[in-house]
Amino acid sequence: MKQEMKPESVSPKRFRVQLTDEEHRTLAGEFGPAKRKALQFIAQYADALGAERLVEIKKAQIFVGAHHYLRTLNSTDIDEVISEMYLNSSEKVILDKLGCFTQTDVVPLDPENWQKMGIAPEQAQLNARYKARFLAAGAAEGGTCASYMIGFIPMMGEHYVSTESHALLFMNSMWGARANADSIEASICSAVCGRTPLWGNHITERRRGTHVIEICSNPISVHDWDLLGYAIGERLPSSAVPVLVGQFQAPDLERLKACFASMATSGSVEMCHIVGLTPEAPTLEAALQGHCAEASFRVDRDNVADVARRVSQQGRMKVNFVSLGCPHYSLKQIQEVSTWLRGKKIHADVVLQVWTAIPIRENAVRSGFVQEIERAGGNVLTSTCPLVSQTIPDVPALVFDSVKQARYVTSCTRSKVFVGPVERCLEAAVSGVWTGGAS
Amino acid sequence: MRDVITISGRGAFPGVVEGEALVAPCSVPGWGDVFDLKTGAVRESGNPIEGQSVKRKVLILNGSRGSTGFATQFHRLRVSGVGPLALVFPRTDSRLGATCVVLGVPAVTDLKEDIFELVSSGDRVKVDGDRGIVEIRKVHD
Repeated sequence: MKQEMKPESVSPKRFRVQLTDEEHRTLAGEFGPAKRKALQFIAQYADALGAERLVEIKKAQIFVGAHHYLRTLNSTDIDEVISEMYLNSSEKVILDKLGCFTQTDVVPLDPENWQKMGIAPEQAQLNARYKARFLAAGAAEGGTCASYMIGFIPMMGEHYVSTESHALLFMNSMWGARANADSIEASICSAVCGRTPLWGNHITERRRGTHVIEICSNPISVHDWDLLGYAIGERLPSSAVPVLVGQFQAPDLERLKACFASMATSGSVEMCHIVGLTPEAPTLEAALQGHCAEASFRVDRDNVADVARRVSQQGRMKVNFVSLGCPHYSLKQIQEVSTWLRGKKIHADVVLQVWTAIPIRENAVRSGFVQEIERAGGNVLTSTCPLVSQTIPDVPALVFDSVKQARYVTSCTRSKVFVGPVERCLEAAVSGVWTGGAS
Repeated sequence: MRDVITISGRGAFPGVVEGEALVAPCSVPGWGDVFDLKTGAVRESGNPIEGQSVKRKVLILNGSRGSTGFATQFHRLRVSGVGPLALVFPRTDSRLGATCVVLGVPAVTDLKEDIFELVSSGDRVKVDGDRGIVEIRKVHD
């Protein structure tokens, strides 16, 4: 393996961040090499941020498994990969124990139906080795990006970490929970050492709204909220905290899930107030914590229509692949797909995938929804998505109901990518043709 | 014209290094195959630095974008031997804080002046992560 410069060779021996006795003992190796490496990363990260001290976390959601990017290291030794790519350590250490409740994020395959996805057995075996290593260290299998839908719910003021950009935006905003969009490495190190820098969203004053956004686009559908989130995110600078105001129907979980996913794609938003809806924004003044906004802007129907034109190919085209469920679908969304497909049949040339979490799929089986979708010719899959599993088929046209999935897929395919409301995606799945039209 | 333009800020990762600037006014995205790991070239279509390599450059990034995989893109560059020499970014953010650590290169942030008005790709830039100072030597007036 090639290594240009090892971080240890230039890392400071002493940190600017103030550490407790226990943290000093961790750095001295008293609790083992993995915790020492993890806390070393977190202390360096705290110094990079200018944090004064660390804070204890009780919950972590981490992106671990045989993910494709890990191949960069060109090693078959998973402990060597875990050491370098997760703990930022060129010295191999064994990750033997996690420092707080930890559940896994998405993995690169459906653990039950990987063969249906065309995943090679070696890849499934490699993922099983990562899973075994993390379960032995105390992790629980989560297997979803929308962790809050399966009970990973940090409460008001609770400090936690998450590798899922939209989920932490959701949990920070809707429940007043506290996390930063750290990085895969920092979140894993926090899970191992149980600490994160006391900085950014962990501090009350840093959660105040910075930008007031007047919503004038009259968002109704999940897709409207998806496009709106993208339009907001792309106009905000790094670390901005938007405050949404205006006359609009209060969004539900599915609408917010879509809105936050696209907002955390086009921008780097980690916290969003919605006046009258989110707990830290009973009023605009409360959301701004008595300060003036740094800037204000409106988002109208034209802005949203402009996003719709840019994120999707336009026109009519034969399609072979339709994927729904980024972020993972709720039980309600699976029910809606199942109801829509009643009495219909997916076109013989089209693959329809619906993505969700393991327990939600189980509930959908017990409710008969999965059977209805399968009868129509679709699949309900879990724990991953086309992007994370890198199973995007090489076909002329791909259809998604998610702006986030569509944007990231566009960067790694030559296929035409269409994105639209779920009903239009399902129409394309049944007819085999994307028909375009106004959003 | 000043011979050397000095911008003060805050050191985000220690060390001192000098090299050629590469200015990324739109930063890079946090997910996807952002870089060519053989050359260090930016692959994002439409990015102002599309096709340009970050290898051994003083990379001046205007913030971060998107996914929590942002630092990981740079981690992959380092283990592939094509990482940048130093990092400069105008304002601290969590993704870039973690990026400094995975790269382990001198870094300066929280700049007191708008560096994008003062620096161009190709300029010689010295990054002092110990004292939090960036020095720019213009190559073209």
